[in-house]
Amino acid sequence: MQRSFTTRYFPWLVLIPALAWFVLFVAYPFLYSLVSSFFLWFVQNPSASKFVGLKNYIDLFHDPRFVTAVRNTFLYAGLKTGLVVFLGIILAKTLFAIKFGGRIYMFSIFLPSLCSAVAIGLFFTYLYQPQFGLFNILLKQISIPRQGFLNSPQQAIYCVIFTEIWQALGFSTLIFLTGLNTIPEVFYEAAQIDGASAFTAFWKVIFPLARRVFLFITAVTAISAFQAFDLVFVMTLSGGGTGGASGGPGYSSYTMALQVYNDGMIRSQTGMASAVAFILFIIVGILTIFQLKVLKPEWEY
Amino acid sequence: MVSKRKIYIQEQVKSHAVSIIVALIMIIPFIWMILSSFKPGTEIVRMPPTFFPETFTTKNYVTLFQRLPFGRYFINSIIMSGGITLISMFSSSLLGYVFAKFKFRFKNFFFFLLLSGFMIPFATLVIPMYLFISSIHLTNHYLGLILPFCISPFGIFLMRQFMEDIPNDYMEAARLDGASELWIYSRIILPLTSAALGGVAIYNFLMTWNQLWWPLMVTSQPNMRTLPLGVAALALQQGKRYDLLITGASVSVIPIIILFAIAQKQIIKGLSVSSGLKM
Repeated sequence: MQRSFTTRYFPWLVLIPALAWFVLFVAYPFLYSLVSSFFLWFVQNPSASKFVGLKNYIDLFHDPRFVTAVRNTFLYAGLKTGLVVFLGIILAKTLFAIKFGGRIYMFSIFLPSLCSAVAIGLFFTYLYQPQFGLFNILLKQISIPRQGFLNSPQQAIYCVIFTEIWQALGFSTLIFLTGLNTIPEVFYEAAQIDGASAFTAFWKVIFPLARRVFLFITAVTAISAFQAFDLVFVMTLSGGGTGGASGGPGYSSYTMALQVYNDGMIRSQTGMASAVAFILFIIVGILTIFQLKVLKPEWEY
Repeated sequence: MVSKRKIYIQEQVKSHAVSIIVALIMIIPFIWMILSSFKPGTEIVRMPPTFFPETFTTKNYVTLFQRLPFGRYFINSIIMSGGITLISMFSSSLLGYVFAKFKFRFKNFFFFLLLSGFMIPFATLVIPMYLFISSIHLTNHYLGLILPFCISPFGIFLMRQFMEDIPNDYMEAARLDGASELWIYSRIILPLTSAALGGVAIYNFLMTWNQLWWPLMVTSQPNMRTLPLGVAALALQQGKRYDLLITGASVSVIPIIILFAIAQKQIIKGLSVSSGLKM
């Protein structure tokens, strides 16, 4: 069939602006990050920047802030992904069994996922407050001495991770629940007729069918956890100042994303920030390739 | 069959008990936050704490709105999120359509190129992006807030998936009748994929409404702050004034609670669709 002029060129009319956007907001920043990570980079006068090879990367591994940031980032991703997926499955299975009232439960379980990390983070700093915060009052009831929580270098990052899990649980529950709802009823019936107990039926029959959902949630949660920024930023913000120093006490609650912000925006060490940003890219890139593989349907029921 | 019925009831009771406990753990902080915003500052930091306000006051809200332009923050957030949502609905669906239904050179290459934006963490791009926006003098400008999010790689991916299922005959028939490509896009393709488009809209709106990092980078003038940034700035400037922090946090969650209460079904459906699993 002879296609009209507009039909033939329509894709290009749509694509060209999109590609221009891509060059400006993805390709250019990405290459800028990559290139400047090999330089002692001067933002105001890039031509004066000095090529230093791998020095930024080598320096990073001797920088206790970065070592802490990497440790915290993996801790964050590991704990968040593990617990959000595990608790999400259990909660979704529980909600799935319920015949009425599920809507109200889902409302409160999913609400934290919709709200801003800033609001939630700030309210939790009130709950973590050592003198009059709820958590120390609860601990006192069971005779555990007062904890420093966000004021303690050992505990701060765990306090943020706990808040993150509290906030993110609703999302994984929702996706698991959606997954369970799409499994054809016959599978549940078949499992019951076979005389399997509810527990066996779930883990042996239903769970393998929801495997793709499981892998998807794991990948999505890990990808977002590796980029942890908002909650750490607000919960460890040392207020009263003007610089907006986050990651404290000291640098004990640094994450890699937070170090990119601190080094790039506050400490004016763009080269170092770029090196951190690039290492983060490699980690997240590997996970995303895995996720895209998972998204491709392998088989149908 | 008595035993089977008994097992069923036991299971229901157990499931409801677990659900109620989890639901309470999730909702109580919100209730307490909003109740606390009506307490005087001294009651908020008192030992032992109170759940319901002993002295009911709206003074915190008055102070907050007098000291900081919270109304303006709200409008800024609406402009930023609303703008990004509308533009990305348009761009995702057009690009999704092109990738799903047209044959052209390097199609797969371009598709994966645009999708690669999805693979790169925001942290990797954010500093150069800020330097670029600042070099074209768009800091403290709505365009600076909106431009980096005009195209949603994830939205393109989702729309393409849904559009591939539309039979080609529909479009060919319209073309034979002399319909333009934009007519086909808006009158045939869009109505058939409205569920996915709704998902893209809800996903993009929520992602940007709660966003902190980018507004933090590109706005330095208080009157350009978005709602989350305004609340964070409160923590920065007022330090440990928990009365103001809690009130600021309440102001930013109350609209979301109301919205969710009104449109729970649509939001949940939209977000399930946008999980991209085509479930």
